[in-house]
Amino acid sequence: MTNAKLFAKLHALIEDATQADKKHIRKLRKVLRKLKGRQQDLRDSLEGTDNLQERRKIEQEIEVITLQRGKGVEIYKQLKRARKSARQEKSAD
Amino acid sequence: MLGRIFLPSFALALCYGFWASSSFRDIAAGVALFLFGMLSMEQGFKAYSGGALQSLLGACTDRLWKSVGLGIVSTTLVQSSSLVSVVTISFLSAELIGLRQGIGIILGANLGTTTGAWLIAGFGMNMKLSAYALPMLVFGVLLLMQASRRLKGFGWVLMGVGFLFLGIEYMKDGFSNFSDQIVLTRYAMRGAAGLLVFTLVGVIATVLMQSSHATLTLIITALAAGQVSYENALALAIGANVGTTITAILGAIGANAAGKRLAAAHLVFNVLTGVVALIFIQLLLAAVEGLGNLLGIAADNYILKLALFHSLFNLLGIALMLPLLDALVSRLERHLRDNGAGRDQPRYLGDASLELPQVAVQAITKETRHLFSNAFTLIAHGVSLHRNLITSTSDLEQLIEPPGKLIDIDLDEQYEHMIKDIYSANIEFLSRAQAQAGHEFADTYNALRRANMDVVAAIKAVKHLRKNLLHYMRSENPHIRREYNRFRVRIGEALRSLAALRDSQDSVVALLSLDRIRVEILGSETEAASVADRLIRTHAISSQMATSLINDGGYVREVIQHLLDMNEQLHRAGLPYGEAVQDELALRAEEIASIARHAGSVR
Repeated sequence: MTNAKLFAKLHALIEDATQADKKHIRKLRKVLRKLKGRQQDLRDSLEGTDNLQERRKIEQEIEVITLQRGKGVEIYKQLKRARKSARQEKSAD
Repeated sequence: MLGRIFLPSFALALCYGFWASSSFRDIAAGVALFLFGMLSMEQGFKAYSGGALQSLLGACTDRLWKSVGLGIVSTTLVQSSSLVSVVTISFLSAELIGLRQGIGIILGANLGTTTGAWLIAGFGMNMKLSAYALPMLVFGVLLLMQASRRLKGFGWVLMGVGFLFLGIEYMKDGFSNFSDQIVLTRYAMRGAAGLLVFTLVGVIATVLMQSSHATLTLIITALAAGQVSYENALALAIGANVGTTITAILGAIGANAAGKRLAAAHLVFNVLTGVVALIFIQLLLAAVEGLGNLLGIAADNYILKLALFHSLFNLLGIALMLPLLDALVSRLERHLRDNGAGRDQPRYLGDASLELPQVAVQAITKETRHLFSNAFTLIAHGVSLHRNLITSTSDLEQLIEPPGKLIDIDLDEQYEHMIKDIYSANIEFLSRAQAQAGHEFADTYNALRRANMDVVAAIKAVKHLRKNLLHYMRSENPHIRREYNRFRVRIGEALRSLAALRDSQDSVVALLSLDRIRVEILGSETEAASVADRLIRTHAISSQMATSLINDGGYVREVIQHLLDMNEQLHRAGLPYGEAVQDELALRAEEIASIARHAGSVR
């Protein structure tokens, strides 16, 4: 295989990975938005509920979503950072 | 039996024909190549169907005229009404489209298939098709060697067209040589008898070849070589139109009632169109003459006139059928129902669905949901809860104190009626689908198989639990009664939470919601265990009651765990290939335990 071909293949591979990252970020953002919406709905319904049992359930769900969102936001930031540094490396080359 | 006699006799007759006439050998080879070409094209188009075809169907079948249009366009593109009708049956079996839309597509496919006659009559008879066929075969084989599924599919299509062209060439040569030896027009029949006899010949030829396209090509080549009279060729074309329904009928044999209804509609439409064409043949001929003049078709160009006739009488059929469509749909729905002698049967599975992996996944996912819906009722009744109580918003905790009200069912009998046939059909379908699908579907099919197995395992655990539950939920001892009623409530709440998730559009969000249910379940489990310990320590319940309570607590855990696993697998099956967001965001076991503990301490 000539060097040009090798570089072309490598480039295609990197391009594929970039596309996959983009898709991943898009999906992550979509899910995070949905979780945020659900969390807000739960907070609203918590204000209008006096039943202790019901309140406990809602609070539990809010806690679950908070943890999930925290994880999601962390991964989102990592992905963004990785993309940014990849872009910087590319422009430096 | 019939096959055992028919096949050898047919093969013998062919052998005699090959020995007796080289022209017959050419014609038979032409038909064989043509049919092989159609099979190759079908194989190729399958690589492009599935996901794309499904989204196209959604957008193009919301109105009847769109369904008809889709039938015309898709059949014109793939040049096989058989493929379009079998794919339509598979979509209908999986309830991706309704019967009305399905019939619309079939009506369109009947008109679309007439474009083949135009192409062959317009170009095929004047051009040396083999000159194009051979390069196509070469490029087709080259593409077949590629790794990409789509390129391979295109390779099959190219090969298919190449073989079609080669087949037509062989048929043309065969008939032109034949005309030097025998003149078949000597056997031409005039009048009503001729019409009926040649219509029957057209039906038989198409049933044998299972392709009206092949029959029509044979008719056109025979007509071009002067081996069949124009009048008889028209009757043969009518017969081919009726005979083509055999593919849909064969495709519907393994399909459910919906698929059978569509095949019946196809038969009704084509027979009706054929009968009308035979009755009004003189009028149609006059129309062909008039339109032929308008289109500039020469008076002696019988090949193009045949193509025009073919299109006209199919158009007439559509015009006749459209006003009768609603009546036909309601009649078919009334007369063709799923029969299972009181046993619930699979609704969405059919052999036709196996043709396309994406459709097979949709069908088996729907059938697993159907199984879960039945299991929901069975599990609810198994713990003496009414389904509508679980799906309502009423507080289940109110069931804990009073003695439980018994729902008297025979769980084994209900399992036979509501679960067994569907479960067996699902497992069989999954095995067959997995054998046919590519590796990218392996995870989906494995997840669906596990989901089905979890449903059955949950029911079996309810069966074990039920023995003591029915006794203790009505016990005089309020302590043990309360704990067994708590078991019922825990199962009821798990079913309620899972039912709420069932219609979730986003599988990732649904999978993340399972974490919340896991926290809830773990919380109630911990609470129940601590109460049981206290009851044992204070001797509020006997030692026999205590051991039953501990053992049955295990069964409750098993039921809920299997229900959770089942839902998880079902939603995983709905994820796109390679999706990982749900696993990145999902809580770990210790995080779930920590939230459950925190809630317990607040309580």
